[in-house]
Formats: sequence, C-alpha cells, structure tokens
Amino acid sequence: MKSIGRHIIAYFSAFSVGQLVVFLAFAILTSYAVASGLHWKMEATVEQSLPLREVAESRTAWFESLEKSESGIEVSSALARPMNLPVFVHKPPGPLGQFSHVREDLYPSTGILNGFSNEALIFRRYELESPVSLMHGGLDLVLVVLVVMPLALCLLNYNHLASEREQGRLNVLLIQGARPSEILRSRTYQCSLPLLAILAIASIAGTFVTGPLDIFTALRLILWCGAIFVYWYFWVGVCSLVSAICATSINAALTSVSMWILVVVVLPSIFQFAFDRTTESADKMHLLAIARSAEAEALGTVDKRAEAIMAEHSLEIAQVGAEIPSYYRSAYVANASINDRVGDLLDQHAEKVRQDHVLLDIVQGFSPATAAFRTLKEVSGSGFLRNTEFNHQVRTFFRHYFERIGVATLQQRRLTLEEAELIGKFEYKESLAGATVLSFYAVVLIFAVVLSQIAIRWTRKLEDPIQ
Amino acid sequence: MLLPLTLLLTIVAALDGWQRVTHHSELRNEVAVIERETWLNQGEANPHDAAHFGRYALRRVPGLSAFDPGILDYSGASVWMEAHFQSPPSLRRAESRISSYPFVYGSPAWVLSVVIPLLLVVLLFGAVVVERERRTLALLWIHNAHPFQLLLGKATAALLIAAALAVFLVLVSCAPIVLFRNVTIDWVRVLALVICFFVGYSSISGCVILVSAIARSSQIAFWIASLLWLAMVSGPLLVAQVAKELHPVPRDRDFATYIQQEAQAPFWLGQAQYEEVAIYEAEVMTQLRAMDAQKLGLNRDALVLQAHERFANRVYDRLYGELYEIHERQEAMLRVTSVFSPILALQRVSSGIAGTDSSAQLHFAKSAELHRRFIIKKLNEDMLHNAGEDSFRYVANRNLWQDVEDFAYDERSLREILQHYRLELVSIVLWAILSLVLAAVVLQVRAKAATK
Repeated sequence: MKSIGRHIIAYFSAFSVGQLVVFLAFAILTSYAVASGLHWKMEATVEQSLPLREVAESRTAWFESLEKSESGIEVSSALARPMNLPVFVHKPPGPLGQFSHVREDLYPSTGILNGFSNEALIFRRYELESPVSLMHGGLDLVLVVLVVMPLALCLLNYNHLASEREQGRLNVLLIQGARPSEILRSRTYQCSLPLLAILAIASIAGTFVTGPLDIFTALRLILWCGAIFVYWYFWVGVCSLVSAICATSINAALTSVSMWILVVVVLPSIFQFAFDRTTESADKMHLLAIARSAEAEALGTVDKRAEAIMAEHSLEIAQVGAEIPSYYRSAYVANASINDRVGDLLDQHAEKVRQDHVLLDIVQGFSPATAAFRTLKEVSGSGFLRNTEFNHQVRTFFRHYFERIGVATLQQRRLTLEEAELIGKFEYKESLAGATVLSFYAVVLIFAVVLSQIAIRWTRKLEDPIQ
Repeated sequence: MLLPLTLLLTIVAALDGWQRVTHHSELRNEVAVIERETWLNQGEANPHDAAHFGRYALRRVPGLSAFDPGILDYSGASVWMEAHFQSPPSLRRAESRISSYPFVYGSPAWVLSVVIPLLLVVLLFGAVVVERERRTLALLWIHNAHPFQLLLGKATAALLIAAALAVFLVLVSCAPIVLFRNVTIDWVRVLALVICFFVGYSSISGCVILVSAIARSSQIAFWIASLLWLAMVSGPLLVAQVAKELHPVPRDRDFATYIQQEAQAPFWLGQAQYEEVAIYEAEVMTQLRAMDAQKLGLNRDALVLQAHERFANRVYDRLYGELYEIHERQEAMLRVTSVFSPILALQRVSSGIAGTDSSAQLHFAKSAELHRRFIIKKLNEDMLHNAGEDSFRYVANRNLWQDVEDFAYDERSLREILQHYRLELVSIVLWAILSLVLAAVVLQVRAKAATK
C-alpha cells in the first residue's frame, strides 16, 4: 500500500499547481453531477411509487366489486365497470439515468389508463415545472463528459511541444536522444489520464450506490465507460494534433479553443439546425385539434354528449341513487372515434421518428459531440428516444386494453373475471439502440486514431534539431 | 477561423429561426381555425356541456422569437379552458424535438450572446498584455503617455468592434424576414436589441481589457478570460439546478389532489356551497333589483354552477399564485446571478425584448385564465336566464357559441419590458463602466511602477 501511495504522490507531484487546480475542479464538478443525478433518481423513484400504490389499491377494490358481482352480491351499478378499470403505466428512471437526468422532467413518466383515456391524451397532466429551469437544465455527467472534459483536456495539453520550442529546450532534448512524438505522447497521456480515471470512478461508484448490479445494467455500464473512453481518446487526438502543429503557445491556445468551439458548439449546432429542418416532428397541438374535431363528431347529439359527461362522473351519480344506463357506451364510442383519427397520425409519426433515427445513426459521425451525446443518452436510458419507445409501448398496451373492454362496454355489461384478468398490467421493457452506439464507437474511434497518427507524423518533422 | 465560423453559424441560425417561426405561426393559425370551427359546429347543447367541451387558448408566436426563442419551446403553447378547472399552459414543443443537444440552443440570440463574447475574448485578451510582453508599454510610459490615453485607444477600438458586431449580426439575424413575409416584427424592438447587444459587448470587452491589464502574460490573460467566459456561460446551468432544488414545484399529482380537495370537494361534497350560492344569489338579486330568483325564472342549477366558479377561482388564485411565486423565486436566483454575468443579463434582456421570456409566458397564462372565466360566466349566465325549469335539458345553439369571443391578448409594451429588466440593464452598463475604470487604475499603478 505504501508503495502505491508513494507512486501516486510521485505521479501528481509532477504536475504544476494550475494543472492540479484543473483536476480538482473537474473532480468537484463530476462529483456534483453524479450526486445530483443520484438525488434525482431517488426522488423520481419515490414519486412513481405513490400513484403506483394508489392505483394498486383501486384495482384491488375494482376486482373485489367484480368478484362480488359475479358471485351474485348486489353492488352499485357504477362499480367495476369496464371503463373504470385503472392501469398504471410508468417509465422507471433509466438503468444509468442518474448520469443523464437533465431535462428528463420534460417527458411524462407516469400515466393512469382507463376507458376515458384516448390516444391523444394518455399523458395529460399539469405541466408545472418552470420553463426557465427546464430551458437551463442543469449539470449532469453527460454534460461534464461532452463539454467540460474536452475543455479541461485542451487546457492541460495545448502547449506540450510549443512551450519547449519557445524556450529553446526542444533542441536540447533532441540532442539528448528524446523523440518529439514520445514527449508529446507521454505528456498528453500523463495529463489526460487523471480525467478519464475521475470519470470512470464516478461512473462506477454512481452505479453501485443505486443497488446491486444486474447483468443488463453491468453491460450498460461497460458501454457507458467505453463511450467515455472513445470520446476522451478522440479529444486526446485533437489535443495532440494541436500541440504538434502549433509553434507558439499562444497559437496553440487559440487553436485549442477554436477546436473546442468547432466540435462542441459549431458542429452540433449545424447538425441540429439541419436535422430540425429535415425532421419536423408531429405537433401535439395539431394532434389535439384533430382529436377535438373527432370528439365533436362522435358526440354530435345532445344526448350522447350528456351521457359521455355523466359517464365520467358515474360514481357521484351512483351516490345519489341514479341508474347508469348507456352512459359508458357514449363515452367509449367518442374515445374510439378519437383513437381512430389520432392513432394513425401517431403511428405515422412513430414510424417517421424511427426512420429519422436511422438517418441520424448514419450521419452522426459528422459531429462527434452529437454522436457522443446520443450514445451516452441511449446507454444511460434517458432522452427522447426512450420516451418515444415508452409512448409506443403504452399505446400498444392501451389499444389492447381498449379493445378488451370494448365488447362489454357496448353491451352495457361488466367484464367477466377472466376477461378482466386477461387485460393484465403494463410493464416497460428497456431496449437499446445498438446501431446508435456502434456507429459512434466505430466512427469516433477512427477519427481518434487518425488524429493521433497525424499528430505523430507531424512531430517527426521536429526530429531534426536544426529546425 | 473563428470569425467566418461565427458568421456562418449566425446565418444558419437566422434562416432556421425564421423558418421555424413561419412554420409554427402557420400551424398555430391552422389549429386556431380547426379549434374555432369545432367550437362553432358543436351543434345544439346545454351551455354547461359546452363549458365542459371547452376550448384551447393558443399562444401567439412572436415574430422576434426567430431571433431569440427564449423559453418558448420549454413553455406550454396552449391553455385548456374548461368549466370548474383552471389549467396551466401545456403542450411544450421541446418534448417533441427529436434531437436536443445540450448547451447549444441554436438561435441567433444564442450565437450573439454566447459565441460572440468568446470571439471578443480571443480578439481582445492581448490588448494590453501583449504590449507589455513586447516591451512597447514601457516605451509608452517613458514617452510620458498617460495610461488613460492608452486605455481610451484600446476601449475605442473595442467599442467600435462591439458596435460593428451588434449592428451587423442583429441585422443579419433579422434579414431573412425579407424571405418570410407572413411574419411581422417590430423594428423598434430590433433597435433596442442592437443597443442592448452593443452595451453588452462593451461590458464584456471592458472585462477582457481589464483581465489583459492585470495578467502577467498573454497566456494567463487568455486562460483567465476564457474561464471567465465559461463561468458566465455555464453558471446559469448550476444556478438553475440549485434554484430547482431550493424551490421545488409541487408534483402534478399533488397539485391535482389540492385542486380536488380545495376547489371541488368542499363545494360539491361539503358545506361551502350553501354560503357561496347565497352570496352569489344576493348579488344577482341586487343587480336585477329583485327579491326572488324563482319569480324571475332564474335557473337554480346555473346559479350553483357559477357560484362554484367564484368559489373555485379564489382557490385557483391562491394555488396558482403560490406556483407562480415558486417560479418567480427560481428565476430571482438567475436574476441575481445575472448581476455577476453580463452574458446572462444580456440573454435575459434579449428574450424579454423578443417576447419569449417567462414574464411574457405568465402574461399569456393569466390572460387565458381571465378569458376562461369570461367564457364560463357567459355560458352560465345564458343558462341562468334562459334555462328556466329545463335546467340541464335546456339547449343553446350556434348563436351563443358565436357570442363567445376567440381568445386574444395584448403583448406587453417595450417600455414595460425594459422596466422589468432594469436590474439587468443597469448591471450591464455598470460592468462596462467599472471594468474600464478598473483597467485605467491598474494601468496607472503599473505605469507609476514602471517609471520609478
């Protein structure tokens, strides 16, 4: 142990105070990002457990009423109606969601389905979050990897050779038999490895803190760490190249910042602009307008509309002793009409999203930061694609549910216990877009190797001491 | 390399912004037409059923959101207006965006408020320190040049750069309007933006010159200025996160429960109904100068329904007041941060002028709620006076639906906006003045030390 400690002290004593400050600041930011992610995951899990319990209780009460009704005991006509069978749908925080929690509040993660839901309004909820907070987002590990790590690498590595050249020490080193490529490589790795180590330790610790690791989460953790390594290696290549090419420190500093802006800001921006233009997603407002006109058509007569409204308040009506004749049927027909109209549009939209993502997988290599962002989001289990998948799974389940309660509702009867049990419960199945991850690994790794090779070749020009 | 990249980015962002605004405006108008037609063609119905059938209040897409979308994509584009329930704005566009890379907001305003300051850092970090490194500064002091003269020269150059960038880039950002004629913008606001960006750039330039005057070498100056830029740009992320932790908004399910428990249950299941209906009935009688509602043929159910609206509205004023206060507290932390970051201050003023800030959103939400109350009152009053004994069997027709006006609201004036952002405006100006004064002091001290 003592010798390991001595090695670590010797390793870090080679750094300047400025470099140590950068490491420290990076470690603090990383820890903060992981801690806030863990806090978010804990809160989100607690938040989802409350409605889960409530819905479980009302499901139990619903089934108890149905059992009573089947065994011939008289129950209120408003109880155990097919339309009132609640199903809780929820998307748990991603397996590594603690690393990419920023803006996850944008997407709905829970919903309660019943016969009064329709495909346009499955996730209708009070959107209470402050838009200002949503826009600014916050700091998570994805942002640290994407934005802060490259900047820190630029800061630490920009003038390994330039400062030696400026101070005239390079020729002395060359005369002593050192090779510029070796100087560059050893210094770059010496300065860059601590950042990679900090990120790896934070990722592993942040995963183990959440509980025992299953095989799928372990696989995701490996992919996550691999993605960080690939992106880190890419930036090591960029920094090596800048350091090899630039003759003066100031030029190297300017080029480093320019590269950071180009890769982290400009390319993703252009990519985002181009992609937003070519992939116009379905507008929710438009969908709801269509849903409303479908609803208006289905509830064209005064009686039907009154019945549909009464059906939603059936429990209150039953409390005052009224009978429930055909109310549910009208509400069901109205929602069926909305589903018919909106369902096709949503299917088309989901298909388009899938196609767009295939396109993105192909072209994402033009912007390594965008590719890294998509991969990190995908591997951690968060973001738009996961939300789309959740929506798709919920809609598929809802269609199954709506169809199952349909016949009984139209016949103005209750479901049988067997029919009710066949409806089942919703469970979100995690998936992983392998193409996104693989294309990132392949393209960015190639970039990284090419950049490193160019940097090494460039340094060969410096091997002649006369230069 | 940076300048052409920035120009390219501005042009792409501008074209994208204008196309986006055109598309969203067209979509909004299309939805407004469908919405109106659906409302008018709903057929004969009881006014209370119509009040439940509801309407959407759609937020207008401000023309200048092409320049600065601000929080527009992250805030609800519409408000659902239905009897008995107040709803917050919902349907955020950001939820439907396929790729949302963090840190980059992809608008001309973002380029102008984040990338251009970095350009200023790169252009100006060596303003003083390079003179010192080349030993030309010592020569100037020996020739009795006054530090103030040197600073004036540097500051004039910086201000000229700032003015040129502000005018050129804001105009480049607004130029695509020529291509998209169906969007209109207020050119006075564009002028206000130019002035704000000019002052903002001046303050950032002042800070960089100050750093350049203090630093011992050009490298140190460069890194200090770059890190300052990074702190100013990334600071709001951390502050927003802390603000969210310190002032959490209620969970949507809890909020729904509060509404049920405070605005619905006490009236429909508790004792609140009797008192509320009695007060409302007395008011109606006073207005009509009558003694007995039944003799006038007023419908009792409509009286109860409107009494509930009045009861619930008081609860909503409190609940939503508390919610908006939490938002305000979160934003107050960003406002304080903007005093320390001219970049954030500039961003806030810019979105305010563009009409895409949180106060514009709040204005929309409040206007929509007023309109909801107006619609429901109108429908309840129709039932009150015309339903008679028929009560919920009474039906109204298209004439009544036509009487319900579409939602419209006035945007706040530029003067109101500037007043709202006075702290940010003052802080930007103070940054500009203070940084230049401090730079002059530093140079004066250095000059004295050098001449000794």
